[in-house]
Amino acid sequence: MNHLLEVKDLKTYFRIKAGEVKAVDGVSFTISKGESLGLVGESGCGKTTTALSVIKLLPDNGYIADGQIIFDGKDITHAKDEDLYDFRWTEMSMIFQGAMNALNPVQKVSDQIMEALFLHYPHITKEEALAKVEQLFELVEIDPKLMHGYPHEFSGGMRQRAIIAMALSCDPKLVIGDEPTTALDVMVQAQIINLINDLRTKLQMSLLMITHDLSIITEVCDRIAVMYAGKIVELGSTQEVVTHFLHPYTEKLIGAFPNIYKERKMVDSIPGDPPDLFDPPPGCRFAPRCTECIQGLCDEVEPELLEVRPAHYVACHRRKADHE
Amino acid sequence: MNVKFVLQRIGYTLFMFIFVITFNFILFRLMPGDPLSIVAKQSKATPEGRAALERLYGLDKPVTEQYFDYVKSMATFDFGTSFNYKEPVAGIIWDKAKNSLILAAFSVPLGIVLGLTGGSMAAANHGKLKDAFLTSTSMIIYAVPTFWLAMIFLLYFGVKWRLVPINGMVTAGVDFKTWGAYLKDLAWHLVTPAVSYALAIFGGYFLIMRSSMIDVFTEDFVLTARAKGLTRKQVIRRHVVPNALLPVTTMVVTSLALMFTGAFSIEVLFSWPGMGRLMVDSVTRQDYPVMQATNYLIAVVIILTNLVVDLLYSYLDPRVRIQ
Repeated sequence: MNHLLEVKDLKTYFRIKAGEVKAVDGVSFTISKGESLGLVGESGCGKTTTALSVIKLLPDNGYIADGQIIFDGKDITHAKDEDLYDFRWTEMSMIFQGAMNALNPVQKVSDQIMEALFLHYPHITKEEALAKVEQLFELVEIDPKLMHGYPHEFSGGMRQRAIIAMALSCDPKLVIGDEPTTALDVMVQAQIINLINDLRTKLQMSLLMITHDLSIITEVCDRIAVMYAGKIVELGSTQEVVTHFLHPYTEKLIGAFPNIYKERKMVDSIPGDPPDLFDPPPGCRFAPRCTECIQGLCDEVEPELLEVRPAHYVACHRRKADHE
Repeated sequence: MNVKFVLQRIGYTLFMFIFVITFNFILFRLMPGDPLSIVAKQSKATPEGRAALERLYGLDKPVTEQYFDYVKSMATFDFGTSFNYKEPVAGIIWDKAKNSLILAAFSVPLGIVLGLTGGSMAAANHGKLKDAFLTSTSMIIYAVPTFWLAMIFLLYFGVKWRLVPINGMVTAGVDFKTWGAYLKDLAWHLVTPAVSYALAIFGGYFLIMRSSMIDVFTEDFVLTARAKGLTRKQVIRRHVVPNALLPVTTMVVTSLALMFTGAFSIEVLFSWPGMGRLMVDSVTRQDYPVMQATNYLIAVVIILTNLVVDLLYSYLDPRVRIQ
């Protein structure tokens, strides 16, 4: 198999005072070398938790209850912190949201990037590290003269570029982007997306992109996984999912996206709220909000993720019935 | 560092000086009681004698002239003669400040270091048993009034068990043959007040450092640092502590500066002849020149401390530099 990352039936739960929150409940996907997968869904659907499970940076009260994460042939599901120090950043790195405090405010940006270099390449000299930072700054298209500045001296877009530079500093095999363009204005967003696309072709890197913004995924990703309430409801190539969306939730999600070429009107919202992940309802988790819900089936039996079209998977009783 | 920033801070400091001197001048003229009546009472002065005294202290001059005389003497550290000691105030203050400094040197840094390390240890183990134990202990220490704790120490260690002397800096009336003997006696007298003082400082530092670090732990750059592959210890040392120390800096510098001005309750309880006791005595004895001078010196220390804190901040936190 050529899979770089293989996530099998991942279940990540959070312990809270009242019990357990099933933030991710049986998620499976793969990423091949050089491929990019977009994980899309609304806030709280478990996409960030999935990413943090994969890079093994869950908060203290979160744990992987079941499933497997296999990276480059190694099972890292239950790897301990001590075993991961060398793995982190060289094998898998993460592009955090630059608008937030992802950079240490009291350290020079160059020092923060060099910290990773010195950590993973102990024999590197200061000059070599500086040269590498300069090279990275050129790669992400920031003037290398600015590399000794502090994060607050950078604009939002520059900070995001610096964070990308940092994520690429140790040539990781897989980069996880957690909302890397959220909170940037549209022009800067477009620049960052172009940059990520350029870098992907240049560096042949694999990418797991987490976002609630479908338009970003369609520009950056080869494949899309749509998440709802801790589960993947639809998975397929970007082209396929956007044009032949099958799951009612995906349809609503695409419908909720304003189209500037069409008549101006309020975008469709989805009535109701996502289910409580503390005590999820039986059956399909979207059933209570679904307009095509089959009473007695959808709200009782959980649908499986099935291949309804070639390489296009969906978890929906209605579509399965249509297909048959 | 930015020259404009430094000059601006110095200008601000000068303005504060003028304000404090003026305030001090007015304050002591508004206070109830009158210095002349005290002196006059002692010498049973006639109205002519009273007028002579007024002339002697310059109280017959117009207020504006008095004010400029006052500014001049403050600037040259000429604080006049103590009513009580009949000696120049500057000399008295110097002696007492030295004693305060001896006490503080053995307690303030100790309290700060223990507080900061304890607080960071508790924060690093947030939510665990160690944290619960450390935090509840220091909460109790923080909540207990200093004078009460000091009195308990005095009662048990000094009076009941007779382990330590109960008052003064050295045993009274002893002629010390050698420096060694003197220092030994001093150290003996120093233990209880220094420990009480250190404990009084410890609690506050512990709690501030702990909450500051817990705050920083939730910042995104801590997650970035972990993702880079730093060990927990490296993350704490390189990223959490430098950021958590920022709000503590002001406190540390202020505490260090106030080492000169003494600790009131500790010095009074242990009869430690320092600045704190001098101030309390000067109030009860209406020793105006001493009161004014000590008040002024505390203000000077605070103002200069603020200048140091501002400059230090701009060094520690790059975000402060640009304004």
